Amino acid sequence: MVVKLYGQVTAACPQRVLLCFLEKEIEFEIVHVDLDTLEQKKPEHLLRQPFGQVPAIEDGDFKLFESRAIARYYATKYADQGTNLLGKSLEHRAIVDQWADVETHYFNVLAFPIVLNLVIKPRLGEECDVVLVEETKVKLEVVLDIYENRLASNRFLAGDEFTMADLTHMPAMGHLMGTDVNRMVKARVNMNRWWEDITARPAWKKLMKMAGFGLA
Amino acid sequence: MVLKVYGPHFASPKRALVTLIEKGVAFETVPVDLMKGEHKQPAYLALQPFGTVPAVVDGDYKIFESRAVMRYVAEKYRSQGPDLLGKTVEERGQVEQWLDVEATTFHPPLLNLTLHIMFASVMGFPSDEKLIKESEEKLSAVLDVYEAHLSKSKYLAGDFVSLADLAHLPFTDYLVGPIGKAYMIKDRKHVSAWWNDISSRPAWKETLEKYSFPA
Repeated sequence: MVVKLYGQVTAACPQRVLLCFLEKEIEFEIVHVDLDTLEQKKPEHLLRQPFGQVPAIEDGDFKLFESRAIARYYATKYADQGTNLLGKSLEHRAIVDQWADVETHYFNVLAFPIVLNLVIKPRLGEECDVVLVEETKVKLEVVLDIYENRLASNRFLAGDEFTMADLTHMPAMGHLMGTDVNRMVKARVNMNRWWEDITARPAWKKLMKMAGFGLA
Repeated sequence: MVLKVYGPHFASPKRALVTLIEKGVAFETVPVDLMKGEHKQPAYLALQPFGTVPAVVDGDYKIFESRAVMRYVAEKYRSQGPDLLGKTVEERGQVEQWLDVEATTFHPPLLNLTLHIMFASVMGFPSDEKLIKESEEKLSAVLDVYEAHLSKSKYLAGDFVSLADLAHLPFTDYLVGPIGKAYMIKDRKHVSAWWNDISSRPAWKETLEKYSFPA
């Protein structure tokens, strides 16, 4: 029996899990939950994810939600298969966790309102909060300087190997790079290098193809 | 050399402190004077580049982000004190799920209430009444989900106390105390029982006793 992922392949949080599956060479099935029609708020989905969000997984009798928790679970369960995403020692794993948590608390809190206003709201025919976007971009510049500094002395966020810390940033970064925020990344030498490096990975290219972003 | 936790008087570092005390691990604390801007000085930024607390130094090893510290301590000292990560990979998955719910869904509206009710005047920004109202509504909807879940589960990740429960302690302590919204917890039967249980643990009582903000 293959793990089922409930979500939409173009949405960032389900993509986080899909990317983990692809890096770990885990077979999966996607069950589409249509965000454009708010299917995630309907009773059937609320049984899988009581906060009305995607993704959720079902793996036989085992169920889980929160994309980062799902990714950590599969990275742990399949530690010996595919890419090692969790570091080589306890100390290294904690640094992976540290930068993965930075994504939640410093990066996503800024990336999400930008993507919501510049990408999602227009699609739903809603008005964009221009003032909020501009204020958020100013805060994002400060945070990206910290990342730039980190990546100046580290090839990847947690050291010299690609880990969960990098992977967890990719879906939201992917959406941001489709907006004028891509200037901010391209203007920073090390962030740009890091982004080009991690998006050259086969798993990312497969994900982009699945999501219909048409890259080779 | 003993592990050091920076900024013990503030809420986020208490996630690390309560975990260390639960696991019976020796540690020292180093105060950080946020009012004087010590967290923005180069010496502190070398430990935590985002200029927030906590930072932890364990010999040559440095780590920040309170929940990453919790995971590190719980894993490193797995064989002593309560097992806060669950016994199986699946139980750990549930712990991670609720730890992430705390971080992504419970914490943000509660942080807004904390900043705008407790710290606005001290930090010198106007308290946003609209944001307070919206945040209380969001947090209330989240607590409704917790109420349903805790009616079927003693603790968040199952029948064992875990990092997921402990992560809620510091800011919920603010909610029922200085924020003045204890009713949000007390009016929900199962959330209330869960709160009474986890907040009366000796490790949490010791954390508050030793590291509460000086009056």
